[in-house]
Formats: sequence, structure tokens, C-alpha cells
Amino acid sequence: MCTGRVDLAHVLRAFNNGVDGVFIGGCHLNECNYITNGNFHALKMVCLCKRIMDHIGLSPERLNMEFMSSGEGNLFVESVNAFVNNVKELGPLGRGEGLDETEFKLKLQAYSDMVPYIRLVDNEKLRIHFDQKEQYEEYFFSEEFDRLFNELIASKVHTYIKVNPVS
Amino acid sequence: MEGEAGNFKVRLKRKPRYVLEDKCTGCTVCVEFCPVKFPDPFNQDISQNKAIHIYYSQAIPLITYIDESCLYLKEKKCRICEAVCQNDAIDFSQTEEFMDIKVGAVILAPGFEPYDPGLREDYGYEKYQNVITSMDYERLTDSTGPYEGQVLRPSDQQHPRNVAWIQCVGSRQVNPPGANSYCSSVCCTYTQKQVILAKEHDAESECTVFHNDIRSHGKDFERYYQRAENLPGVRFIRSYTSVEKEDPETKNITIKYATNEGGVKEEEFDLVVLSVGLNPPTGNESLAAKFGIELNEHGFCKTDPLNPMQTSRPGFYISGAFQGPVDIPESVVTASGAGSQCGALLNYRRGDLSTDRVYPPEKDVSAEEPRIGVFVCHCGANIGRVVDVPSAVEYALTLPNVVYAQEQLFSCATNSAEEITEKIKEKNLNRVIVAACSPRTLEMLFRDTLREAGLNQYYYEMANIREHCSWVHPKEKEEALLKSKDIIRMAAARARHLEPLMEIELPVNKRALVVGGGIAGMTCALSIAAQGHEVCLVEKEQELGGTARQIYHTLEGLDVQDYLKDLIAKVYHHPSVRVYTGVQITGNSGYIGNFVTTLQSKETTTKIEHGATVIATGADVYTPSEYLYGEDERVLTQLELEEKIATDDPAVVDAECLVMIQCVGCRNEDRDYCSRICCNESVKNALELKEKNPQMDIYVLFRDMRTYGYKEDYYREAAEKDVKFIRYEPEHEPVIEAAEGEDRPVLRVTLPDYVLGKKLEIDADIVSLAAAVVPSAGTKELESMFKIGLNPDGFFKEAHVKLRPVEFATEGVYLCGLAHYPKLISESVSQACGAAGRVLALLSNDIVTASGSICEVDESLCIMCGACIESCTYGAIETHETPQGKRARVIPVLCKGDGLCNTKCPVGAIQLKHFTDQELFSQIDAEVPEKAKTAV
Repeated sequence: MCTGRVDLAHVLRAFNNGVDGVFIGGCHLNECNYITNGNFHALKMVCLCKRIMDHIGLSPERLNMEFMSSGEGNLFVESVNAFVNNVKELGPLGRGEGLDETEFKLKLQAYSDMVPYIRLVDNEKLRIHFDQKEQYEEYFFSEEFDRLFNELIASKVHTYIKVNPVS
Repeated sequence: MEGEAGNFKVRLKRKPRYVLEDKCTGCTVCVEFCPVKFPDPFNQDISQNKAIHIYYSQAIPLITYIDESCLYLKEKKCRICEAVCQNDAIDFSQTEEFMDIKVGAVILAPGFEPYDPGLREDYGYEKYQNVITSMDYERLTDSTGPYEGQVLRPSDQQHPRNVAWIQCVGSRQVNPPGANSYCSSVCCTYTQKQVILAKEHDAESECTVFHNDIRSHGKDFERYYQRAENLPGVRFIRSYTSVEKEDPETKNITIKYATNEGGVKEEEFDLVVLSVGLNPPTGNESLAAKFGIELNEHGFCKTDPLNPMQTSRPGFYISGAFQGPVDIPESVVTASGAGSQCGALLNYRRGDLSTDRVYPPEKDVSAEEPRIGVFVCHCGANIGRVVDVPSAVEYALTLPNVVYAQEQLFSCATNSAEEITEKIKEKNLNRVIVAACSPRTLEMLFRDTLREAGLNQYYYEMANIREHCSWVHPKEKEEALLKSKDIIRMAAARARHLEPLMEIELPVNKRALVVGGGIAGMTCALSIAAQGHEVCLVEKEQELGGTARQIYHTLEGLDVQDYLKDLIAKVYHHPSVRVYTGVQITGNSGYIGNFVTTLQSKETTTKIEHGATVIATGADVYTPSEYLYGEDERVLTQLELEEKIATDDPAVVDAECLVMIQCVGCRNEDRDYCSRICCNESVKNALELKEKNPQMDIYVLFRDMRTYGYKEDYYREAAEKDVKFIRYEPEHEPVIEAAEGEDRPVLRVTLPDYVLGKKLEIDADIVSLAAAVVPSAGTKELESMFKIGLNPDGFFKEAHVKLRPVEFATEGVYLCGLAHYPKLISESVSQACGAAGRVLALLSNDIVTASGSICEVDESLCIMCGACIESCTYGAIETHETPQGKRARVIPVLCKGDGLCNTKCPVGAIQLKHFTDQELFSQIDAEVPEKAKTAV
């Protein structure tokens, strides 16, 4: 199993269960020992998920991906410590953001339910590949992506919530 | 040692480890308690280690040993390690042992020794604290290094902000004594790596590299050089340097250097790194004497000029840097190649000593309710002193489906593993969890333990409460216990959903197909055939020989045509090699172990079934459009020049003046790589011409002379024989025009002379161009036909530059020769043998086994959107017809189990077995204790 197997559904499920933060560790970018380079897929998923969290009102900092090798135990410890401290500062999921619990849970559930559809959009409209982490971050916070996200994902989830108010 | 090839007797001396290998579990409690600290040689003596220690974090076996600094060994005191070891692994009664072993062949791989700049005074090494070697720097940048990855300079342990590297330290020098005349080949690129790392560590740092020629002759190295050079704050300065002085207060170092533009300058740096070269391994002479092998004039192993792995003694092979300075890919290639040559030597008794392991028959427990057994490991004190293990055991028993739990001192000890096997049988367990360490090292062992008990190995699950818990929370014992419980609970949740998986076995066709009949293809074919396999060797031309047919001599003076004639005869005479010339490949299907390839000649179509494929299709020479090539017959390529020299063409050998221009058609925007062999080729032709006509004026116009390794000696020889080497920059390429000279019509070559700062005009009779080596014409077709990849320059792309240099990512397909990248004949031979070694690793098996943890499509859910097929980099998913229409299907033997496709499938139809959504969700849910109770 490669980091690329980590799925949007897994991350949303964890937040749905009430965890306050999710950390994903992957191999260094562009140093795949195979030809898979699945860490780029995971990075893309993380960027997308951050935008979803943003849309729900949850802090995207609750999701963090870092890249390291198996020999870099100290880097792992540093990254996790920094992340845990950050999440502690953010406070409990939703409450830290001052969100209404029923409402954000409803939205999280809606996005979870819509994962199959989001995958379709991802497969058809978000076929991007860059070499650098920064390029992904740039893309996922670009106007172009905003438009795609609002038109193809956010609005559909909105409709879904309207149709299924207490799912 | 005594004996001869095929039958040696070797006596080995084993130094006492003072630690019992079968008892030490690598828990390192002893290291913690050992009172003796001494400089750690693995970290270049920069940091300290203990008398008992593990050599380094990736050591195999990953267990401790005691070295000479031990108090007990020196003064009969201490023995603390013995007292703290809970597995009684310390044994001070061990003494030196001798073992006699019988072997058929010997591979020597003693490596190299970094050059010691302390032997001379001019670099200030050992005199000034802040002058270090590149080996020191390498350790500093490593996260397991002296400061855990922080680069701190010796004088004050501060981060250096302004670092200088000095190239060619101990290399390319005839003086002073102790320096090496050869080029160490690897230093330019490792320095570039260190510069990139320095900038990653500290983006603000200033990096300066003082260099001679930049030699980035390796595959993809030219781009790497540009990447380093283009980083902000990085300067590459072409200059000789001297280390002048140290500031007594700041301990900064002043370097003096000179450039053409700026004259002589002095500049201060925080840290100076000496890019030291590669020396022969320590003890090379006694090694040579002991084994009766010869060394070359540099002290490395003397090898057959066209077989860099063959020593002067039959049955003795070498791999790696004992042949001279080589990089990692070349080392790995020769390792495989040396193995292959041993295989050829000893083929007549292949497999004589191997025995099959027999496991009890597997029980079918798939219909049973899960019965989970949990074994919680103390790991000596590693887990036990932080995590309350008995409480963890008690907790495990409260979890759904857990029917048995116990603690163990060391689960990985032989007796503990046997205990697990016994308990599986006694308690009728059908799932097993060991809560201990990382699956990285021990998962294989415990899977085996399950097999011994007749359980499917995929019913095993590991809970890591050491690396993920006790080691990172040594001071938070209560929380560590809670976390251990979480981890065990999650493991148990997943274990309930585990399924028995079968590993797939497919038969292997024992025949190999080698595509390309040049030196690489022929050598590879012969090496495979020598190990008992039938080989089909396919060549598109009517004759075998490839590019080598145009080469007359090597730089060392070997007659290539004789060698080639001999090689071709061997190929035709070998009963197991079938040669097909004048044929095209028109089709290829199948997968590892079972390929079918279609050949088309003028008359017939042939289908060949084979288990392995080797691509050795060579390369072409660039046809220059520059420098009047094709317009003026006095302008030649180096290969054409070589032919004219060999045939004593008077227009060439009687010329008054000849100009060679390097880097024609590469190291530019169109072809951003170095063709590696051209500098050697030009030096070779220049030397031959000087031999035939010492009066001839020869100019070599170059950008960087890349006569790497021992070839440097020939470059020096050419310069001594008055061949003039003049450097040009790509912005001011030489200009050539037909003109009237003083007494004859000439080709006038004009270029700036940077040293003299003026324009230089040379009237030449012949101009020869070092034309680039380019991918061969049919490369693209082969790429799609054999489903193999190309690099950005159009050469074939190996599976991993360093780890798998002669294999494609497509299993069962291998690579050698110029098709991979331009290289010398000797390097092609290494690679051909290396590829043969990998082919044999496949063909010597009767079956190929695929992991059980691979993807599977539920056809009733599949909507045939194709997303999984597109995401699979291994081409492991195909479409097939079903009564309901087209569906995706996994080709099990090709699937690597990465699971990328799972995240693309909109309907969840494709699942990675052993990591299914159900298994992963159950684990995620169990993270929340309340969910664990209700979840199924």
C-alpha cells in the first residue's frame, strides 16, 4: 500500500468520527522507489480536502501532510509535535472554529456521501500534475480552481444537503 | 585460501562480537547504559558513540556489537551491558574464530577509501577547524548524522551561512606525492547534491564551488548540474584555489582564487568543504597478495580491459569501486554482472545446495467467527519500562473477538515465535496480533510464524507500540498506555476483517529474447546462454556488431574489430543462441515469464515465446547541421575521423592542422545531456594522430573536458604531446568558414581565447566534430510495444537509477548498452552482464510469485469508466468482455499493490486486498473507543 491509497473518504471519515486532526506521512516527492509516485496523488487529495474543510468552515490546518524517509525519525517527531501543538491551539473540531456542531457534521456527512461524485469530478476535471508541492498549493488556491470547486462540487453538495436535510 | 576456479577453500577469521546474534533483538537498552563514549567512526568521529552499539541505523543485522573501547575488554571492569540485557545476549567468552568454507567463485567488493587531505598541508585540513571533507559534510546533512541533520561547523557549532567547496582534492593531480592522477568521477555530482542539500537546509546560505572541469557525464547529471547552478546564492567558479588563512577570532577561512575576468581575489568563508576523491581500499595490497590477483598502477584491481568485473585470476570477480572510481549505478550494475559471471562459471551445479522449506497444510478458517490472539511484547525494557504491558494485555482481552492475550519478553526471539505457533494451535486462534515494533523488519517473521501453525499468513496484523509509542513518549507513561490501547484496539478492529489471500504462481518460460545485436546484446545473450538458457538474439541489420563496427581501437589501444569478430563467432557457435538478423519486431504481448514477440523479416513472420526480454538496441550518432558539416568534406564526425585514421587517409594523417570541436548537438536546449564518450573519443583520435604525425597541430575546442576515471591520464598525455585544449563558452561557439590560408585553402576557425582575452584564429585542414550520441531511430516504437518508459532525452528509462539500473519498471524486461545512455564499451559489457544477472534471477525460477495483496475488481459494480486503468503505472489493469459488456480486470502478476486505483474508482469497484476500504474504515472508526464497540 502506497500513500496514494489514502483516500478522501478515509480522511473525511476520521473527521466525521470527531478527531481533531489528521496527519499523513509520505515518501519524499520525486523520490519514489517504484514508478508509482503515489505521494503526488495523496498531496492532491490533501489539497482538495483542505478546500472542502475550508468550505465547511473547519480549519484546513487540521489536515497535514509531510514528506520524509524511513531514516528520518527526528523529522517525523518534529513534524508530529508541531502538528499536535497546532491542533491543540485550534481546539476541538468545530468548536475551535466556533461552528454549530449539527451543521458542520451535516456538511461533513454530505461531503462524505458525495465522495463518489467528487472522484468523478477529480478524474474528469482535475487532471493536473506538477513536480513541486508549492505548485499544487498554488493551483488549489487559484481562481480557476475556485470556479471549478464552486460550480462542480460546492453547489452540488449544497443541493444534496437541501434534499437530505437530516441524513 | 587455496584451490582453483570452481573449487576454492577459504579460511575466514571472525572477530568476536561479544553479542549472541540469535539472542540480541536490537533493543539497544545496553547502549543506553554503557558508560564508555568514544568518537563514532560512522559519523566521521564528529559525534560520540558507545562501546556497545549498532554500527548504524540501517545495519544488517540490526543488532549490537562491542568494540575495543569496552572497559571490560580493556580493564576487566564494568559488564553493565550484561546486567541490563534481559535476553542474556552478551557473551564475553567469545573469541576469534576460524571457519573454513568451500566456494566455487569469489567476488571482491572492498570498495574504496576517501582521499585523506590531512596528508598534505596546502588545504589546511586538520590545521583549521572549519576545513572539513565532503564525507564529513555528508554526515552532517544526514538526519541520522552527528547533529541529527543540522549542519553545524566544527569551531562553534553554528550554522555556516557561507560555504565553499573545493573540487578535485587529491584527484587529477600528479603532484604532490600521494595525490591521484586519475579523475575520481563522482565528486562533481556529489558536490552538486551537497549544494542542493545546503540550500534545502538553509535557503539563505551562500554556496560557492571552486572547480576545474565540471564532469556531469552521468545519465540526467547535466540537468542536475544546472539545477544546482541556478539556485539563488550559488556560484560555480572555475579556478584553482588555495586555502590561505584562518581568522583567529571568527575561525573563518580565507580562500585565494583567480578568474579570467576578475584576476586574483581573496574571499572569506564560514566553512570550507574539500571534495575528496576516491582512493583504493585500505589493505588493497595484502588483499591482492592473499588472493593472488594483480593491482593496476593506481592500486585498484587490475581487470580485463573489456570486462571490468574479471580479475587477473580465473574464478575471481569484482564489483563496485575496486575497479576504480565509479558511482552507485555502475557499482550496482557490476554487482549483478559479477554475480552473472559466477553463475556462468558454476552453472553445472546450480541449485545443488538449495532445499525447499515445507509448511504444514493451510487450514480453511474463513467461515469461522474471528478468534483473535494478541501478544504484547516488552521488547526487553524498550516497551516495558514505558508502557504497562500487563494492563495492555488485560485491555486487549476486553476487545471484540479477542479470545486470548499474553505478554512476551521478546516476541521476535525464536522461543517466543514458537510459543505463538503453539498458542495458535492450542487456543484455536484464527487471527494474530503482535503488539511490538514496526512491521518494517519483523512482519515477515511473524507471517512465517502463522504459516508454521497452518494459518494463512495474511491473518497476521502488527500493532506498533514501540516506534509509535514507547520510544516517542518515554516520559508520559500513562498516556503511552492509553495510546498503546488505542493502537491495539485499532489493530484488532482491522484483524476481524482480514481475509486469507493466496499468492499467485505462474510458470516461467525459460527462453530469453535479446533485442539488438551490438556488443551489449551479444554479451548479454552469451552470458544468459552460458547459464543454460536458450536465447533468441534479434538484430534489425543484416550483420551483428552495431556501433562497434565503426570503432577501431579503444583509448587503451585494444583492437575493437578483433574483439568484435571473436564475439560474433562465439555467438554463432553457441548452441543455445539463435540469431535472427535483418528482422523487425512487429508485436509483443504477455507479461513477466510469458511473453510472445513477433518478428518480421522480408520473407517470414516468426513468433517467439519467451520469459524475459532484454532491450539492447544501442544508439545513433547525431548528424550535425552545424559547422559546415555536410557542406564541406573537410568537416567530419569523430567516428568518420577514426575511420580515416585507421585507413591512413592522407587528407587526415598528413594534415598540418586539425581542429576538434566538442559538444556538437548536445549540452544545448535541444539535447540537454552530455554524450559522455566524446571527450574520450577525441583524446583517443588526437593521440593516434600525434602517433602517426607528430608535427600535426591539433586543437581541441571544449566546454568541459570529461575524461573521467583513468581516462584523465590520456588527457594529460595528449596535453603533454602538445595537443592544445582551448575552452569555449556556449554563448560564443567557434565560427568556421572556408578561407584562403597563407599557403593553402583552409577551414578558418575563430573563437575567443578567455585566457589571453582576445580572438583566436586557427587555420585548419580538417575539422572534426564530437557529434552527440542520440537515441536510436526505433526507440519510440519499442517503447509502446514493450510498455517501457523513456527519459526526457529519449533514452530508455530504468526502473530506478540507483537501485534497479538494468531493469525496466515493466517486470521481466531488462536494459543494457547505449539504449540506456551513451557509454564506453567496457561499461556496456558491465551492463550487459548486469542485465544477464537479473534475467537469470527470473529464469532460474520455475514460477513467478505475485503477492496476495493486490487489487481486484468487483465486476458487478464496475462502470467501465477507465479511471483505474489510467491511474495504474504498471499497466496492470485491462478491459475484457463479459456478458454484461466491457469491464476492468486486474492482471494479478503485474499489480504491485500500491492501491492508487482505489482512490480513483467512483463506485468502489476496485479494492486492494489486505487494505480494503472495509479494513481501513474499521481501523479509522476504532480510533474512537465508543465506535469500536458498535462497529462491525
